[in-house]
Amino acid sequence: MGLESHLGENIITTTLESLVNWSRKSSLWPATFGLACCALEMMASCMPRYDLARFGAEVFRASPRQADLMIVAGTVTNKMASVVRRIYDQMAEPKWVIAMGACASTGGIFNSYAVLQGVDRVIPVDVYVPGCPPKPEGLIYAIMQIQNKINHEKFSDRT
Amino acid sequence: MNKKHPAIEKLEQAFPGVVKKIITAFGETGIVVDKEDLMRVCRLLNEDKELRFDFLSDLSGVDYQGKKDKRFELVYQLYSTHTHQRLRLKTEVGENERVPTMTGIWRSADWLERECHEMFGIEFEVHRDLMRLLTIEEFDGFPLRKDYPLVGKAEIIAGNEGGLQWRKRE
Repeated sequence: MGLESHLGENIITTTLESLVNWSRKSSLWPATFGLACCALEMMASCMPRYDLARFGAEVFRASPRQADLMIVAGTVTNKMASVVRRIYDQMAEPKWVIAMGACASTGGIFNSYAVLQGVDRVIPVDVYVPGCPPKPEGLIYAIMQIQNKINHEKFSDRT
Repeated sequence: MNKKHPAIEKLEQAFPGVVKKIITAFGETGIVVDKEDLMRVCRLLNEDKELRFDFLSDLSGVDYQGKKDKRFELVYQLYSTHTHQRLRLKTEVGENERVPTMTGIWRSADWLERECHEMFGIEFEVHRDLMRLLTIEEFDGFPLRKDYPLVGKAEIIAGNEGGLQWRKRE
């Protein structure tokens, strides 16, 4: 079929887009952003029982410059809001955001003067994970959703 | 329980009538003193050779809006690392009244008084820096007062060009 018949069996042809998307989704490096109890579930998802490494997302980076996925895990206070925004701005494109748990998604039970009512007021969020806190399965599913999203991205969308 | 707290005897000896009320519950002792006596009471508790209350472990405020003549109450939790005694010290503070700072006696009073000021708006005399600790700089009001709305007076929204804005609630 087409070009492959001339090149033989050792070569696969593909589009640059799907090659780049494949490499991006296969090594999502999250920035550590554990703010509350959700952080423990995030840690648990890296441990052998759940093993986030199966999806290439186990390398949590302490520096936003080296990360392309931000997992906001926990309650974001108003005092923390500007810090979340700054860390997000410091991350290099392309970047994605998961709002993990009820607090990061909507403020959760903390409808108070001190708590930001959802991290999407400050940064754009790709996937919300419900739960208080969500189980590691929930976070892993969210990461797989992000991977799915990356897989369907077009270069023309990011201009 | 029946034995009187050693600090109370000392205080009554040194300054008769200074202890306005003694509250004992669950084996813990608390005393109520006037705001004007607070400084000398604290100094005695700290400096006395037998009491040596050298640690102010907590300072909290209480808002009794509409329930007491003086709106606020300050609660000092004292501890002695030498005798392992504890003592609770309470004093009533009216609105717009100023309280002497205890930073000269216990260094830990610095941040505790800042927190009390931030949450209740209680003013401390001669405190060097009553800057906000827990809330953001633009914060308006004193959140732990009973008449403060729980959800706050303003909320954060994303402004233009990635900046954050502080918008007043209706």
